[in-house]
Amino acid sequence: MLTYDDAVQRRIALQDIDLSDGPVRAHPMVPQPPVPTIF
Amino acid sequence: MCTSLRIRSSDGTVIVGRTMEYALEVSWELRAVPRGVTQSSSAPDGVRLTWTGTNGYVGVGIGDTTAMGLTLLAQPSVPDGINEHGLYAGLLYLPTFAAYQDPQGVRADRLLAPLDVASFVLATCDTVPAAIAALEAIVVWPAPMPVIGIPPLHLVLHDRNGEAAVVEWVGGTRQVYDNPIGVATNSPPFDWHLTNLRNYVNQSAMDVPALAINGKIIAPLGEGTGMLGLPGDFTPPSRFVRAVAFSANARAPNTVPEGVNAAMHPLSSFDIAKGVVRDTAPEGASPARRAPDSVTTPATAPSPSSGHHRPTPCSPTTTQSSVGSRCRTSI
Repeated sequence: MLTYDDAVQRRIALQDIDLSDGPVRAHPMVPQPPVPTIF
Repeated sequence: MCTSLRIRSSDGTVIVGRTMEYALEVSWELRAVPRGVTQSSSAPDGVRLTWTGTNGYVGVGIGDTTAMGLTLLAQPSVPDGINEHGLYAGLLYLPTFAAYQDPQGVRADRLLAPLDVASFVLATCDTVPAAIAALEAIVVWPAPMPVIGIPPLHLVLHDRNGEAAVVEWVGGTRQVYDNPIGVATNSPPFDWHLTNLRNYVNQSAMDVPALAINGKIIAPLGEGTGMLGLPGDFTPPSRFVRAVAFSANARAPNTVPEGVNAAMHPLSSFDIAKGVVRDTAPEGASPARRAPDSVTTPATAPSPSSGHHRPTPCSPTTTQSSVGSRCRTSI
């Protein structure tokens, strides 16, 4: 399941989403804490 | 509260970003609505305007939401989206001014509920002029929706050609405004905001020089004097002026990802930390009384991505850009 979270900041190009046919697809926007980065 | 602005890149790409702050913690969803999906709007007598999409589109929709002791079931229409032809449509609040058209005597299959306006044009139109023409054949009537009641909305449109417009329903009539500035917020109606900009013609991105008064040099304390006095509060007029200052002075990005960042950065200016803007309606009042357009829902939103990732206390924000094969959505 594709989810959104602020830490990952997924960006999806419109041309990469199949809009040619089929039912409506919904993806919840799930808040997530930032992913810690260890230096 | 809603703030919408446009950034144009050096190659003419149009990038549109908006914020949406809401009283309810809405369960937002990303929706992909393919071509061929059939949708109906509500009408008083049950006969409905029905359309089958010739365009696919993506947008942010309202999922099943339970908040403040109320349940709002998922709504099929999106308040914000972009279609595969690069037409962007966004619904923003216009409280105390939005007054829709009278459905009396109108064929029910010509009636469109306010919340369905964006989905309707996204599914059936490919440009701003086409969307305006389509709405001329439609009557947007004051259809109530659960929990919210009659949502007081206006419609912001942008397309890949750089055309932009705002459509409002005020006093029972439809008003269409060209939007060469590419900014929109909330009340009052759009033309008032354009006039109000004349109060801010002194705003400049350029720092001002020191003053010499009777031999005394009055030097600025630091950078930022060019925008000294830029309104920083969260009222719609102030957000409008601020959004114009940001979008009009943005350095033109060279690429779409740069443009997305260029749109996201100013949108952070409209973040509302929880508690900073409060409603005076009593606890337990209906969401309509609690001015859902004036309190932030802490959620997540894309942050300006200059290599930093941070939690952002604002509600979902989409940024779209559209030009030919560069049609993108940043979600």
